[in-house]
Amino acid sequence: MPDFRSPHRPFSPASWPSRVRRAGFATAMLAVMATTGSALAQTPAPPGNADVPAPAVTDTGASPPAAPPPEAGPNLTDLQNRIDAAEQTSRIAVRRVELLEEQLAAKTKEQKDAPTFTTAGERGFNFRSGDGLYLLRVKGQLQIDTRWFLNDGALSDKADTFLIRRMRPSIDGTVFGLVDYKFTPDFAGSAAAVFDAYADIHPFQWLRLRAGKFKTPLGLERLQNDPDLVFMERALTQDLTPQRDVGAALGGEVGNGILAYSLGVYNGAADSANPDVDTNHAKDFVGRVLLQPFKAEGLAGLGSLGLHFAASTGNRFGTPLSAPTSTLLPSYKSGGQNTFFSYYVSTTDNSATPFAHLRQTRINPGLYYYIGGFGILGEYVWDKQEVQKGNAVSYLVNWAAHGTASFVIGGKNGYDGATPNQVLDFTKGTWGALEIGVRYNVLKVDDTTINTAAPSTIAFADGTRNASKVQAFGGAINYVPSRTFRLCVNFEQSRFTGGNSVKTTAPDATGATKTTTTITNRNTENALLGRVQVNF
Amino acid sequence: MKRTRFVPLAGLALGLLLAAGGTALAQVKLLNVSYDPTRELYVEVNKAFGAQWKQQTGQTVDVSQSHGGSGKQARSVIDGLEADVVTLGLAADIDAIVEKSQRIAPDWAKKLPNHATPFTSTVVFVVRKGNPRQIKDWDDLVKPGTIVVTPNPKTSAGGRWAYLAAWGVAKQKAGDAAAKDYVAKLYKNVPVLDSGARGSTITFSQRNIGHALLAWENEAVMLVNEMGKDKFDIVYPSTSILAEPPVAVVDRNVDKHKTRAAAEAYLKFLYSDEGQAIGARHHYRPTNAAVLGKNAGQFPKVKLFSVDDTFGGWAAATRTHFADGGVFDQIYKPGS
Repeated sequence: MPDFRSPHRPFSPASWPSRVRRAGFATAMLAVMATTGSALAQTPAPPGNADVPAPAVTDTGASPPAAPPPEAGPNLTDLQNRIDAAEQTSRIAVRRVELLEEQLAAKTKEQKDAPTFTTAGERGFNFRSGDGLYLLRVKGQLQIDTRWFLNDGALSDKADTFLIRRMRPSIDGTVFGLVDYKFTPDFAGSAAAVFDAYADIHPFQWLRLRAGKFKTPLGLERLQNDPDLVFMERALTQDLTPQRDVGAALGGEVGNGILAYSLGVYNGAADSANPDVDTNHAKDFVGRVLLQPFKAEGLAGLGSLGLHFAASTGNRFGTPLSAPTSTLLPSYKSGGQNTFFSYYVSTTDNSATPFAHLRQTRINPGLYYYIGGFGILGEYVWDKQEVQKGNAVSYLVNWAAHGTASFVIGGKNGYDGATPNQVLDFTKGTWGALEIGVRYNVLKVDDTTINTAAPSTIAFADGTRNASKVQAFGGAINYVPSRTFRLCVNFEQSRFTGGNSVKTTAPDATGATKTTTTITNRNTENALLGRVQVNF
Repeated sequence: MKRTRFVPLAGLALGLLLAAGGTALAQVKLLNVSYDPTRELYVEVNKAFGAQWKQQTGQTVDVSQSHGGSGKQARSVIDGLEADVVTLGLAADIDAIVEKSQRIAPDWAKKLPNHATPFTSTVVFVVRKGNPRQIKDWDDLVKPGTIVVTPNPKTSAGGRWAYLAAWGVAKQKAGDAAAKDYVAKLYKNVPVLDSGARGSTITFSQRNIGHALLAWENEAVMLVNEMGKDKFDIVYPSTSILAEPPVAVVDRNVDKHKTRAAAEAYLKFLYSDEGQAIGARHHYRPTNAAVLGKNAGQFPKVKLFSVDDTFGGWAAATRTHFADGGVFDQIYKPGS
């Protein structure tokens, strides 16, 4: 016997999906009402002058008088035909819904059964299994920069140049629907370096375990993706946090992202370092909480507020030797990427070379707030490092802070960068977005680091070559045709305290000639930076 | 002692191995990928062929069936569905498999009689009992207010045959321009386009939509028999199309499965007296004159025209009418 029901559902209104039943019922009712209304509208008017308005009816509580019967009722056959037509209309509507549902189910099944889906867009080139459990994304980031220093006298170790700032192909994705992975090398430097290489197991939104090499949760601006920054180079606070570290961290979000946390153990990395292995048995503990109160229901209209607090602590075991380990003490760079501070290294006397010894602790509060095109981001980093020189141990406290304000014209501002409302499209006459930013940032090293009273007697750094403080003011203009492409122009002026010297010669009390060294300020750096950026 | 224990175990293992091997050798599996309304036909064909094949070779043949819109089924084979044979609604669908996947040899139509068409059919009308709308021929379908149900010709072989039947009849009367006008009017009266013939049958018979269903003849007869002769009537128009649903062995797949012999025999069985009789029982018109003669009573005479004569073959018809942007896309506006 033929099965006219297969592959469809049997014909029984009770077996229809409730949505179909509702749609069908509603459509049928509407159709019948419309038809009936139409029929009634054509019902001959009661006897009398049709142009005369009906007298007002006063509600007396009594039953209204029965309406007089029409002279001639509607033709029953005609009425039946109209009802039949209405029924047909309603059935057609129901059937169309059914067919749409069948098409949707078939499409869903087709997608589920399909071996892979390939998509390309702002989030790279994606290959996803039909069941969604496996994903591979191929992404890339290319930054071609130029740096021009408007007062060449400030140059110490850099020249006006074009350069490849970042060249990072990246693959990431998901396996088994449970484990994310990411691998990002950088080929822009003189040697290839691995920046991200980790697996991220996420059984729940509130619990995920990430292991490998990745950003520690220190540095609110550090945690922003490179292509999303307002300024081409991060603020001076980046000098006091590691670029990446290797370890494992538990993290997650609770309350729909209102509170995010991360707590991890890492090899331990010096400021601005990107190490691959540890050189000792000690480990760093790094934690962070991020509160985003406006993620609470009903508060989205207030914008996006993030209150960040991170801290780390761990021991360092540097040596005054360049090998097998190093001093594990950092150098600091200005906005123009000139090194303005390094700890002293003696090539002849190990006892004169300071090195990181034991505890380093960092505290890093910060916040961001974005609403519409406007955004601010600010943070502070307090960095205390136990430093040994000879047999003496000192605690050096360096700190940095920055505040960045930005405004996006023709787009939306956010912690994840500027997003144009409409991407550049010549045919539609849309132009993307323009992002304007300003910032102030400052970094100060511990007062005892440099012997300002007697510069020739070096404490931990040579004050005639290394600035003890830098304050920088900058402005940025970024043209953002789409999230995958932007053109940037930045200017930043960095003013240094120390870092230079003058020698004066004068006779002393005995009449002998004496040369005196006085620390002066390093020349102000006026850096004009430009960038062409492609990322997908 | 050890040896005496080993010998029975080895014998048992060898026996199991031989039994398994023998079972495998004695079984052959085929997949018949077919179009929508042939489910019941091939259930009976499979049973009869299985018995004949067992008798001839000693092998048990297990024929699986897959049904859907003919174009969709062809796409599945192109995409890798491991069909051993295809029994589709249109020659164009088999040509598509040839062209896009090379799984079937280009001369497939010459490998079996009648252009590899074991049965023919035509397009008829099914109407509500008593034919309240007095739908008697093609012109009645385009009267205002008449609701016609027919599947989507872009996805369904039945739909395509119905479309070409309508066009061909109108063309014979007044040429192509008039035919286009007629078909445009006809599809204005089609509020629902199912993707396959079986879906349209359900729309008409179970969802109670429409005054006339354009259906394969076999589907129409089975519908009336199944749903009750008190509910529907079949109307044979004065002229209709000669529908020739073809069959073919999927060469690349049968060679891979090592099932060529069984697959070829399966299709040849359709031409046998027994196969033709089964077709007639399921209301497909036999190509074997003798069998057709025996069943002439159930196949009223209709003036039939062929796709080749009227449209210059399937390739031309497909290109003109059903390709994206073709005539059907021009005249049919969903929801209008």
